[in-house]
Amino acid sequence: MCARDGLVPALQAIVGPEALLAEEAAAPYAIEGVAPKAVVFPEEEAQVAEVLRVADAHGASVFPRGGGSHMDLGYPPVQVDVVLCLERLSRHLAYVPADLTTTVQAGMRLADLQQRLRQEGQFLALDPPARELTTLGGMVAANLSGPRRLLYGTARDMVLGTAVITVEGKRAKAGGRVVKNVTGYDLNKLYIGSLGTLAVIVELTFKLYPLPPGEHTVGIAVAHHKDLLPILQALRQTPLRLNSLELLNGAAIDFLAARSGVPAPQTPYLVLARVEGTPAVTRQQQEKIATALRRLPLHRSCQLLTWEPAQQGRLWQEIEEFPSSVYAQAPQSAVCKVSVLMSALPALFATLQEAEGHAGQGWPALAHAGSGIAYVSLTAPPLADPVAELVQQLHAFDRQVTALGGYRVLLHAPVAVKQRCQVWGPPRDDFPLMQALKAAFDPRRRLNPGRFIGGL
Amino acid sequence: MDKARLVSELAAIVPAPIVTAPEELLVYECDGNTLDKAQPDVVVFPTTSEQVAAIVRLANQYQVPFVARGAGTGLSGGALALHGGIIIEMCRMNKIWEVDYVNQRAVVGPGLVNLHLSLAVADAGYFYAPDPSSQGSCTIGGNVAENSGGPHTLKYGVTTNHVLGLEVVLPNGDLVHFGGATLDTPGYDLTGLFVGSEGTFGIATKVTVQLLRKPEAVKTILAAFATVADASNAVSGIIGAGLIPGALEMMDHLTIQAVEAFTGAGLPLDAGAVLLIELDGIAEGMEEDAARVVAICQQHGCRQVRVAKDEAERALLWKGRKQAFGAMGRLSPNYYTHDGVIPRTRLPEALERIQAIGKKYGLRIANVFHAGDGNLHPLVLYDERNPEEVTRVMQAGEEILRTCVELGGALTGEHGIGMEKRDCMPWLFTEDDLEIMHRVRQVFNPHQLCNPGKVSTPARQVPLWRGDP
Ligand SMILES: Cc1cc2nc3c(=O)[nH]c(=O)nc-3n(C[C@H](O)[C@H](O)[C@H](O)COP(=O)(O)OP(=O)(O)OC[C@H]3O[C@@H](n4cnc5c(N)ncnc54)[C@H](O)[C@@H]3O)c2cc1C
Repeated sequence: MCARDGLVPALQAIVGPEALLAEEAAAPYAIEGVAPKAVVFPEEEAQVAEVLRVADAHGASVFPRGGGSHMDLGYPPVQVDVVLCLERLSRHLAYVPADLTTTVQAGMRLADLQQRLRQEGQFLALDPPARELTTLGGMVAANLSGPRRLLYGTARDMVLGTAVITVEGKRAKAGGRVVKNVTGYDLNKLYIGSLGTLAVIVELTFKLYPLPPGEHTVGIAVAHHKDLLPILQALRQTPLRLNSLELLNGAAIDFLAARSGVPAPQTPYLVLARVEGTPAVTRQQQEKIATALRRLPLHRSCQLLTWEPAQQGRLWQEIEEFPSSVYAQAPQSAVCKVSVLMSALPALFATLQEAEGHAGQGWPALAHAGSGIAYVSLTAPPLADPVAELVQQLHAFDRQVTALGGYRVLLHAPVAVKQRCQVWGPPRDDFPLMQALKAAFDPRRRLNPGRFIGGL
Repeated sequence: MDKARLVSELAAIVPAPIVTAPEELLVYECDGNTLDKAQPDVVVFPTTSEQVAAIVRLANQYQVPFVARGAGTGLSGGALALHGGIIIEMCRMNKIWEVDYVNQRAVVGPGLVNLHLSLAVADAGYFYAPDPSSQGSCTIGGNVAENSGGPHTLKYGVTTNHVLGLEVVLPNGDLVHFGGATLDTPGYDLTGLFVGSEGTFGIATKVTVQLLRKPEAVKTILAAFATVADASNAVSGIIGAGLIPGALEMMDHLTIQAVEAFTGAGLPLDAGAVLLIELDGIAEGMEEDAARVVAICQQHGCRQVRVAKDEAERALLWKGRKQAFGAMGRLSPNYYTHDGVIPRTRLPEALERIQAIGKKYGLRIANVFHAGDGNLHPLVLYDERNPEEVTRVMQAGEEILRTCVELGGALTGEHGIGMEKRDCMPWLFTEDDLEIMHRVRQVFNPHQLCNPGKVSTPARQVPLWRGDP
């Protein structure tokens, strides 16, 4: 008799029959094609703790799930026993607008929170993909971000407090509800981006910002890759309230234009700069940008573009979604997140240009340029064996990224591709500490086992 | 293990001097918080990461506790050798290894003085944002350990928001690298975890930071109010209106007296409180924002507004704020600095209760603090020659911190727990919360030799180390 026998009834005793799915009903919650034995929907923290304890006792693996938008992140699981859905833990626990902070349960959706905050003229300054679906806990566990990170940062700059449930069912909090706090170790940082491998996040407190009075986007069509760095640098050095600075290649421009219905120029590269302020202030910044660019000695002249406000909105929505949507439209592809220095982006984009020649089709690439974060979609040429081809391309791509001093994470790819490469890149000299932390939190490897860096 | 042998083995690792004479060790028996004292056995001054690693390995070999020390300006007893042993003084590792303006990065030694980094990059138009008031002497390594803040962290964030990577000698002597110059390094965010670990997770030997472009325009406003309550309400009003100034600092009546005597900046001596408000950013819209700030202050009873005309006047106003602690010497031989935090909407209530606590214990309390962040600094004035008064100071301090916790705040906003507030941790954290923190500490520092006795009571008590003389 296997230790996992009796797992489903034991879980049912905790959450009740209406909050548990098993057998066929659990199939839609498969992770990378592996169906779970049970899916549970606890409504209370105490149930989360109980589920974890019972799963641990049964030797069952547990996969926390928020909105389900990024469940493919990481190595494909070998066996999935319990999918722990946090979506019913969705209460908005505290919000004092004048404090610019708010506390939520982890299963609350980002979109629902933003809607509430908007009523007070505030927002959580994170704009990740899957904005409608993602829960705050999932967003933090996966450390998702978007273009506004240039000005506002990422989850590590906004999470003030965290409460987690550990695999033995302990509730532990870190940080607090105030904007500045060094009371105790900053375990918030440990949980952010830990992909649910250490503990299950159940509560979060965020720092908020006032909504900017307005935004305006300037597009710059660039013909020569040698002009990219001077332009990016000029935009970063010009005094602007710049919240996003994006770089797109031709294939990404076509892709986004088609999805958003916003007309885009035929150009090898497009730089997008989004500034904040009242209409008068954004207009003045737009002029500053034009003046700064006019002064640059460029190889080829660049062309300035603007769009109607509604078009700008659609364009940015598609930019935010890019890492997810570009995969959805080409399942035989490998979407990578690359981190390099801003100065290495032109070289990165140039290598993509060359690679396109080999593969015979465009590889869409979009970078949050000011932050040095690029999303690149590698695709296999038609008729080739896609898995073998993608694996080979990834290896070649990795060599280029490494030569540029950067890191590559494989966000989305077919299971067979992920099984044949290092999803999080090679572990580094800090890996033994990561292993020791994993062992300290989850010694029996129940939580998302094998999915994170180095197979943690 | 005798001390002479330890010293001679250390001498084979680090260049001279090695401090062992009791009278010279006096300098190292406390930090900026002079109420707590503990003497190390020996102080060394390494110049390279490899030397730090070798010292740490030696300490492990002989089971001697060790503590890194920067400038010793800490205010929570963090750099004290509570269990004796070796102080590893990092001040010689103060090199700026690399500055990359295009990508706005710098790699520096941990012993570099905070202000020296901003000065080094100023001509190129950049600065390093975290600016503790002690920035003229405190080190980047100390800032990393304490996750230090400063007046401008309201807008720019604290140290952790600006540190991207670290080279660290772990408590077992291994040299490892966390994060780096690029963002979102795959794996757990060990950089973020290390920042604020108060010297208990190892010793930082190199720090990669981000640099910011200096703001195009700055406007510094001094607003005077009849009462602390009015000034507090103005703070809430400014934040509530969606304005985030670069800095939003408050000084109360008592502080104004001390600072004015010290700087002669022309602060209104009859005011109950002043706000030092600094707007910075792009020039466009700055006048409008300043007008809004002034209007909000006036709505809350502001009696007098002064806008700095030029850089000299701005510097003068800031000098008073940044040296306010030092200026307390004019009012009292000693002062005890607290660092509690509260949600900013609770400011009026908190300050009122602090005044009442002062009255109750017959102590004068001056307030000079980061109002925009809700980070209080009540300075309790006393004379250390009066032991009975010292007892009252401790009691009043405890009550102040309990008030902060009651109001939904925390024990410390930027000075750290150290040994000073270690025993208060259970006010805020449950046994389970603390057990998880211990677990993480145990991963980094399994033998508790690295800065023992700080932050929280260690799982294993390290015996006081005293080498045979
Ligand atoms: C007048 C005055 C004003 C102040 N104003 C502010 C302020 O505005 N904001 C603020 O946040 N703080 C302030 N402080 C507190 C203090 O300056 C900071 O905590 C500062 O970061 C300490 O730096 P230090 O180099 O003096 O560190 P130290 O006091 O020497 O050490 C502090 C801690 O850091 C550890 N440490 C030192 N170097 C390293 C290293 N390389 N690796 C690992 N650990 C290390 C030590 O072990 C110790 O635990 C003020 C202090 C004074 C005296």
